Amino acid sequence: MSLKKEHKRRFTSDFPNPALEPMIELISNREAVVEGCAGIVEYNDSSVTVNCRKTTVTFEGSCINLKALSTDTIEITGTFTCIKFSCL
Amino acid sequence: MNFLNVYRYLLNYVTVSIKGGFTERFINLCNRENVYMWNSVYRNGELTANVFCKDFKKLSGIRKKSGVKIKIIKKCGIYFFIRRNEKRKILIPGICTALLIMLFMNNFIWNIEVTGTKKISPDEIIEMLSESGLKYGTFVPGFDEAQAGREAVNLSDGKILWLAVNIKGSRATVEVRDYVKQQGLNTDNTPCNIVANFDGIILSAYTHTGVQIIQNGSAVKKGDLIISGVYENENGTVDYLCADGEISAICENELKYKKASAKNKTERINLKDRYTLKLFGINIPLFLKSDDSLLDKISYTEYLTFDGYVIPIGLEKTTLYMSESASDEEFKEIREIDAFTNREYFKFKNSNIIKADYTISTDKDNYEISGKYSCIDFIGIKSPILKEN
Repeated sequence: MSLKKEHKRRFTSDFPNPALEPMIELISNREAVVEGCAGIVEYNDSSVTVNCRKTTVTFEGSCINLKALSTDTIEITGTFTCIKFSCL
Repeated sequence: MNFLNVYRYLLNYVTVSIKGGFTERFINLCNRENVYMWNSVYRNGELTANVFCKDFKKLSGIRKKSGVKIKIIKKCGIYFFIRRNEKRKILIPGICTALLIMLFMNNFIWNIEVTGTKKISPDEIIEMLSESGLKYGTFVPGFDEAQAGREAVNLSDGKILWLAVNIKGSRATVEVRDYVKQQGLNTDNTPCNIVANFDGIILSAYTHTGVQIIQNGSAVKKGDLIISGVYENENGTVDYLCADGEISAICENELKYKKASAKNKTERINLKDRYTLKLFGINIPLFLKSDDSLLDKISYTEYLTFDGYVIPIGLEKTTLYMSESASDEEFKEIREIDAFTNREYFKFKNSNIIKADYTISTDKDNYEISGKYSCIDFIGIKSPILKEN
């Protein structure tokens, strides 16, 4: 394997590419902004599950509201008690 | 209220309730069709969300795909407001006129807030500013804030070091810094000694200029020579210097503090709150007039803001209260606080207290605090050398 290919393999495996990976911004346990999401998988009174292509993120808690939705960003408010990640 | 809410209100939106079917699919499809939804809340199997009116037509296709039932709960926006009040012909022009008047009146200063000064009262600063052009009712566009600030500093006769006027909406915030006399380098080279200012035990002495006479750990009395400004050269001649150094010592201080019992200085009983509407600098009381001259007052004013922009409409809350006498036990606590305040901020403001014992004695009219304090303090004071001596 050439040095260039080896470097590329190492670089891509060690560091997540921010353009491809979802980015989650949390403000205490009150507000979360998920960038790079592909839709809602499940939404009920106490939880919301967001599809982030490679993973799904579940926000559990109370008073879960979807404050704003756009094509790849979702803003969730409420009181979060648990955040779960699961690989698809 | 912020600009986003106003923008949404101007574009008109509806609050819809979505039931049955697949609500998640509905949300995803709305997302795909660029239907902007906000404040989506899922409660008891029902999704409530806000949608712009222009996007509402798109929902019919999405509804069929996701199998949900949509029901309009609330219609919000300027269009709906006008439709609702079509018959009230004066209302809309009245609101428009009020808005225009408010926008116009917002170009004037209706509130001046002074911060950052301790030596000069805010009223005095407002008076200075009024002489330099900034007063209640000043027209803001074209007003030179920096010039007004500079003129106010000149008018202060050196009391103010720096003053800045910031105008936001109809409120002017005045930042003031008091003039503090700088303790610059001592250029006075008059020959002098450093002597003890009070009795104590020398803890540390750093001599900058002169000859140290008394060593660390020695006890000194008031007036004892610590650093001498007389320096004998090797050839026998004498130089007279301005002795300088830092001498800290442990000293015992006695404090006696006598004060008349102030029986009205005790707990506060809030009687009632009174509100006053402040409209473009005019105070409109929202209460019936009554005699309350004997009561004490605390006032607090809150102004209406729009995205940080102060609007000259405010509400002043005045709390009227009455002072009531307290028992001897309650007084004791107050006296202790007084003693502490006196000790800390009055006499030993710059000292490092290492031990404090104080007692409080009371009689009918007065209370007396007497205490002993051991503290570390700078003991040295300059004493000029008289050459005749």
